[in-house]
This record gives sequence, structure tokens and C-alpha cells, in this order.
Amino acid sequence: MKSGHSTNENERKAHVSIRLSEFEIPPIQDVLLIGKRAPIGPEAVHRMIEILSPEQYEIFEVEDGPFEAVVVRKSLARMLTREKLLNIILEEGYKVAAETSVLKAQVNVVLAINVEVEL
Amino acid sequence: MLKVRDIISSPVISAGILDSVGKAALLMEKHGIGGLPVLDNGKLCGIITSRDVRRSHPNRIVADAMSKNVICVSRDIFLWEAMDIMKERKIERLPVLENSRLVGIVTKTDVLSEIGRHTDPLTGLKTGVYMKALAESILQKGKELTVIFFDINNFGLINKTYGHVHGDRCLKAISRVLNKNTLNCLYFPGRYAGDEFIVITTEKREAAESWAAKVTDEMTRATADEGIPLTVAAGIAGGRRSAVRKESPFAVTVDNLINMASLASALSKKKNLGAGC
Repeated sequence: MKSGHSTNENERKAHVSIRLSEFEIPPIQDVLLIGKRAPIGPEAVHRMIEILSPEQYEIFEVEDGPFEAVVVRKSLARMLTREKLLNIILEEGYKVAAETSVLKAQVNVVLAINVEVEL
Repeated sequence: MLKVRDIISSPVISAGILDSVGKAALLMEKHGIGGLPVLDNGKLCGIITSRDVRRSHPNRIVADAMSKNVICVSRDIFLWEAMDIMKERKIERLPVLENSRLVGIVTKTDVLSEIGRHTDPLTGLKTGVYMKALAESILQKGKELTVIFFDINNFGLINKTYGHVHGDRCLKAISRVLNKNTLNCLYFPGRYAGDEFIVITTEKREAAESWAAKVTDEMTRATADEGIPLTVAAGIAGGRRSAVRKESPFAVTVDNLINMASLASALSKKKNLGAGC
């Protein structure tokens, strides 16, 4: 004999929730720092961005520290010299990264310009 | 003979450039090998070793873990040349190419094992087959080649009089003398057969003659120290090249030189001289 109570106890339900958002193309924003033992390496990233966003990123190999390479959006390098930009990014990256990390960074460069003109 | 082509592993087990490091590791484990050549559209583009695998995340593609500077060799190089490359570059394996196509791979273990098969177990000297191939490679490089042939006088009688154990001691004493006098990499010693030894050199004939005279004297002293003083006849051929050799294949030239040196040692024996030609 089955009771109604025991039927309720055995009941199983699934809760489905969906969150939709746009996929970023490419999914690396402005800068990607690739660790030496990261699950993805520079060659794989290079092939990915060349397919998803051709000619928009540059890859720089890094000798020291936990990183193997840095991927930088080319438009950033137009506002700052490559060396300055890399130094700033790597200095901050070294503080938080491990060799297994892949870090993405959003970098905003704002140029403040004041020009005095004769009235 | 004694070339890379004789011992290459083929067909080659390889990894694709877009394979995962994990897949490459499984391939190496399955076949019990420590490295794989990496192909991109059938063309050799790198090599991945078990060391690279240990250092990399298994999800990476092989392109991000492999060594890109691949040192390759042709099928026609001699084993010791392949060995020298591996020692110098501190690598364990060499992909073998023919017309830019990967046709095999050769490892340090394969080369050492094959060279070991051409080492005489009694004296530790190289065999006659090895010495012929070495002489051929010297000629191929366009260098001078002089062959010195040593033959122990009345060795059969010594074996019969004193027994083979004492005979073997004499052979070892003679090989020690040869080893001691060939440390400069100008002279290369081998045991040709039985009581016959061969030394090849890139030195000119005159230098080889004085070297041989000194060495035969040392051999007599060394065997006397073993209680059985022996005399050794030496014959010399070659070492008088005046132009690039074209007339015959190198193997034929080597055989001719060995034959002439052997006959010269027989003549020297008859004349009871130390060194002859």
C-alpha cells in the first residue's frame, strides 16, 4: 500500500535557470597575460585571435617572471610606447599571478590635454 | 654500413601541431618512447619530449610545448657523426629527413647499441667492419688517410705453447698500448681479426711510420711485462694523397689500402723488421 506522503518525499524536481549575455569577441579584452604553465599557450592564443579578431592584437614573449607571453590590443600601443605599456602591465601582473595563471586585463588610457591659446 | 639508415625507426610515430600535450603524453606512454616529432600538414616543425610534457599543462596544444629548433640529419650520415651531434647539442634523438620529408627517427640508445655491437669484447677496440666504415667517412670528407696494419709474429705458436688465456693477455696488452697512443684523436685503433690490429689516421705517411715504429717497440715491452715477449710486424699504406680521389668508390679505396697495408706487414714479417711498406 502506498501513502500520499511517501510519494511526495520521493518526488524530484530540477530547477533551471538561464543567464544570457553577449559573448565578447575576442574574449580577452585589452590585455592577456599568459603564465608559463597555463592551460593555453601563446601559439594557441595567437591562432584564436587571428581567427576571431585578425590583426587587432600583438603577442610579446616574456623572458622573466611567471609569464610566457603578453597579448596586447594594438590600439593601446598607439597611445603609449610598447615598452612603457608592457612595464606597467607586467609590474602589476607579477604581484598577483602564478605560472599557471591566464589573466585578462582591461586597460583604459585617458589622455589629459590642456592647451592654452591666445584670446 | 654503420650509417643512420641502417638503424632508423620507421614509420615514425608523430604528434600533430594542434594535438593536446595530454594526447602526446599518452602516445609516448603507449609506445614507450621519450619524444615525438611534430608535424604541421605533414611537414616537420618541432619535437616534443617527455620533459616538455612534464613542464606543460596537458590542455596546451603541442605547438605551445614543443622545441621549435629541430636538429635533423640525413639517412647517409655515419653513426658516430649522429652521436657527436647528439652529444654536442645535448639531445636524445634526431629526426631523419630525406628530401625534406620525415622518414625516421634515431635515438642515442639506438646509436650506442649499434656502435656497441662493433666493439670487440676482449680488447674493447672497434671491429674491422667499424674501422672500414670510419676510414670511408674520412675519405668522404676529403681528408688524408693512412692505414697501419699490425700483425703479431708467431701468435699461433704462443697460443699452443702458453695456452689461449696467456694469448688473450697479450692481445689485451697490445690493445692497451694502442689505446694509450691514440688519445689525440689523430689515430683510431681497431682489432681487425684474430691477432691483427688496424689503426687509421689522417696523418701523412712519414708521421705514421715513426708512430708505428714507436708503438711496435712499446708492444714488445708491454707483452714482455706479461711474461711473453712478442714482436709485432707493421705495414703501412696510403698517406700520399696528392689530389681529390675520384677514380673509385670510397669503400673500394679503403679495401685496397687495408690490403696493401696487410701485405706490407707480411713483407715486414718476412724481413723481420718493425715497420715496412
